[in-house]
Amino acid sequence: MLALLSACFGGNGTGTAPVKPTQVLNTLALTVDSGPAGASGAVNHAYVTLMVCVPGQAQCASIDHVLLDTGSEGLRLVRSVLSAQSITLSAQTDGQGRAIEECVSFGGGQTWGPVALADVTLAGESAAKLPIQIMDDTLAGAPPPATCGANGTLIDGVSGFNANGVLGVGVFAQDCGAMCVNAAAPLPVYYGCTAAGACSAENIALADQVANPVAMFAADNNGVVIRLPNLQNANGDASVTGELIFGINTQADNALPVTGLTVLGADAHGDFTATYNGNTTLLPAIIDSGADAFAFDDPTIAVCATGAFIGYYCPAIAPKSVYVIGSGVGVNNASSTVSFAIADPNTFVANAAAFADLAGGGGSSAFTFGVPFFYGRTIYFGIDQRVAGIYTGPFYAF
Amino acid sequence: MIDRTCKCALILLIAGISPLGLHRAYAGLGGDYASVVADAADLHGTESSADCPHYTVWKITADTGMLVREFLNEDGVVFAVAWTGPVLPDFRHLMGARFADYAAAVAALRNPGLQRSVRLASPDLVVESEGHLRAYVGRAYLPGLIPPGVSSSDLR
Repeated sequence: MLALLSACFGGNGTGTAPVKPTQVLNTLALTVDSGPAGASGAVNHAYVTLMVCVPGQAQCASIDHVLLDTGSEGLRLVRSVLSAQSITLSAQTDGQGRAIEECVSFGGGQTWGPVALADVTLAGESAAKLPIQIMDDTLAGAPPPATCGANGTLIDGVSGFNANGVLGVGVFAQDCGAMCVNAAAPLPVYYGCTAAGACSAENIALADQVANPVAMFAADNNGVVIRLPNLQNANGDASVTGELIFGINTQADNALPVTGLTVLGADAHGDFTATYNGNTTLLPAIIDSGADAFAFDDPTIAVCATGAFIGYYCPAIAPKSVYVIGSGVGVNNASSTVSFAIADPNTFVANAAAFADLAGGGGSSAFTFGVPFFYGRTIYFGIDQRVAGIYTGPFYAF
Repeated sequence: MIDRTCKCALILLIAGISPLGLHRAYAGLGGDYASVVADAADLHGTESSADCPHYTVWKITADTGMLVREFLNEDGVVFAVAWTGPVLPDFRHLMGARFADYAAAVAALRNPGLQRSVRLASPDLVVESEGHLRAYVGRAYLPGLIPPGVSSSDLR
């Protein structure tokens, strides 16, 4: 650790040492609690507070309870939350003067709303004129096309994620990437919408896509480090506080360990692979702070049939121990065995916000390491094509 | 998506669907073969099929990288659909008349935004949908129409 520090600061000897730019505060409190005012009852949701300003103006607001999501990229904020703090952001327009809007699918719903530029600050890091998505819960912009959020599946309000917004800091610099830039048939992600509200899917340049804010910082922009402590009571803590750290191996507080680290390279989808409990089936896998539980298929585990956790696993003998082996893809073939326990959520402490042994996902053909995996760990998320120490993203490390 | 279902010979290949895909309501689940062809047009895709005991599976490969499989029973009815791709297919089309049931079940979930892996199971309809931008996967099937001797685990 000390050797790293002296290397950063240019060493000793005569002559002029290289001028090191002032390092900014790169840590943000990360809190697992029951959620924002008006939408509480959240379980295993990790939140941060950030500052958003109208570009070029002194109009700013502090937005709390923004969900930290390593399974997506981009900042999305609920319009009514912004309006309540007098923040109005204008939609970006395309070459034909149409408002650029976006539809993104998350689990059981879609977010719909315009792309707008905002000056965003997290801790001491800032990104000016950052493309973000306004989650248009008041439908002040164009109505969604029929393909987006049909039959009540829009999740633009605070209740959709139990959050005032989503901070996507996954392993890519933009939310859609190259596949949304020059497709022969534009993907149903970005849309150009006329003043009359007619929207059609269109290609969007990378620079105009909703971006991972970290990738747009001036420094500390190669990824993030997330640290949450172990729960005091695996069966339920009222709240937990840890850290979101910007940058990997850029400051003293985000140095990569020299030993004991498993680095799993991700593929072009942002996935590594996993095998569960000795099964030979290779599952696409992701470490996802936007998922509230471990999610995987195990038909031998009973599923909760009633109660607040209907659909999650209710193992008959709890806690049930299982394990998964995560393996990197591409040039990286490192692997790591992770053992964890699953318990019946009906035995959890009532009204707690953090549970270590929560799992679900029957029928899944993937493996998701959700928030329970984060408790008691330091996890690194390396952004695509950005260098962090001796590694290049996209990667997950722990 | 790997075909690890029945060991059936590939018997037919239809290529070069017009990229101008007509937009009209097609059926998906509960629909017929004509709706499968229309799905392929709408997805700007090519079709291939495999004939298995008791059912036929049509695979549509779209130029977006999306793969859709539609399973037809011996009566020519689509009883299962499966997908994998960088974006979600249009569920209104793929689930046909069952879309309203799906939408109602999803809307009733707690924290729909955090359910990265959604499973909705009723006696009439099972939907499993998961993933993220760049990699979605899932399937929907009508349990009552699964041909005898066919396991739901084949329907991927």
